[in-house]
Amino acid sequence: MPSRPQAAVEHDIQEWCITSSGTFQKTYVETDKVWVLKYMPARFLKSFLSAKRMSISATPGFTWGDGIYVTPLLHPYSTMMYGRAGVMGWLPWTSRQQAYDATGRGLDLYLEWIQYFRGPYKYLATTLHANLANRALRNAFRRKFKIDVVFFPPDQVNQAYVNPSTDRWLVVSDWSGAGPQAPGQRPVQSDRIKECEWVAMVEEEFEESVWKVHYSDLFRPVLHGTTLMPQNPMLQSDLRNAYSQKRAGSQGVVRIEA
Amino acid sequence: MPDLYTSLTARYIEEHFRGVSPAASDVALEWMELQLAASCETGADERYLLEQYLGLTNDELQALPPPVHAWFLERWALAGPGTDDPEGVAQLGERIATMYLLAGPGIHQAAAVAALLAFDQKREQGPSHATRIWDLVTRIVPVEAHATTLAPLIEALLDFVYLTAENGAVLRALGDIARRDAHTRYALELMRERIAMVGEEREGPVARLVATFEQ
Repeated sequence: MPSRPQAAVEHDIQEWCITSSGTFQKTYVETDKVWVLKYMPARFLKSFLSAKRMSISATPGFTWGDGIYVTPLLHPYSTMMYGRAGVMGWLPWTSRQQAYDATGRGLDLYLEWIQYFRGPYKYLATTLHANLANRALRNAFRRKFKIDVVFFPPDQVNQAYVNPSTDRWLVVSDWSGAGPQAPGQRPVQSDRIKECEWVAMVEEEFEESVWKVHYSDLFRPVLHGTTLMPQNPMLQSDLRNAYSQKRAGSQGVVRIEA
Repeated sequence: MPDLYTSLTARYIEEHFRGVSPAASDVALEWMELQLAASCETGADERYLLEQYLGLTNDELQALPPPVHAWFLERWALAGPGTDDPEGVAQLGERIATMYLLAGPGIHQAAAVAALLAFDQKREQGPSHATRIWDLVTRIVPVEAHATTLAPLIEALLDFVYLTAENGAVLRALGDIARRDAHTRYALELMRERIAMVGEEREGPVARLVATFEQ
């Protein structure tokens, strides 16, 4: 049984949205854009290039429900274990939009809020259908509070390329075409991330651990031994240049070396 | 299962919901979405699949695992009835209400309720399609199991009241259920419990609804 009225929790969530949006604006917004990256398996590159749009993820196991999962350009290495083809685009951002920081207090408030929803909460806590229940609750939370972006720490890691304490991943909401009570979205292509272009090719191979928490990188240890190599500080600007050239009609991509 | 395409889709959904990593499942489902969109001209698109699913025999439906039911029922909640013919909508609504019972307890029951609420969006008069579940349960389930069988319906509607910003249609459905509950009192009891749990004040949406039935 929750210890305080739902309205009080929801008031605190709304306040947290204001705080989070300020943090998000300061950290990731450049004038009115958030530059983002997504890495996808090379076998999907051809279909990406035909539409140049990112897709809405709608599989129940995703961290914050249905949406477009991307990384800010600020953390260009952070999700490259998910695929060798890096695509880049931008999310328009105005002061009317809301972000939610899903760390610390943000996480505590979410955990408090879900306890009011006996249907999914029961299945989440007591059955093997937790993924389905989690997805329903995460989607409902983001829809109820009109959250455009949740930013959260990585929940799958690699010791060389992911820094869970400083990196943040984003899920961008797109509920277009979903009725008010629809529990989720379809994996359709979204227009929320604008002017997407293929900008990078990853020269590294990863292997997922049995528990799906950790990815081992396979080329870097062979090439460089056990020492962790410093990341290329120019990668962000290289990706920006590649993007500008792509928009201007050039064909080149950045090779991200192991 | 007579329809191979539907059977393969069901297996595909189950496999990808349960197996490998979410990222791999996601790209697989995305691929399926592209195939469905591309199949539009051949007639084997999403609407075809959804109708084939409801057309399966009860034995076939009971053999399907919960993630498959969740996928199909959620698609119904996204797609709506797809027809304006009242008789056609009624038949689909009746079958979705049956799914609530056939698929057994689980989160997919909330998806069945969501699908029926999506059917309400074009409805201008008459009770909510969600009442079909109530009517079905009270008609075919033994009296001693009514309360437990109906609880997920009422809980799902209450969840939707507090989960969604636009809750007018849900409150109307809950009101229709409460009217049917005048003698049984399964719903009103759960509504009172929920009011206490969320700390809703007298002017809150569910508190006002309950008050109308207590006068």
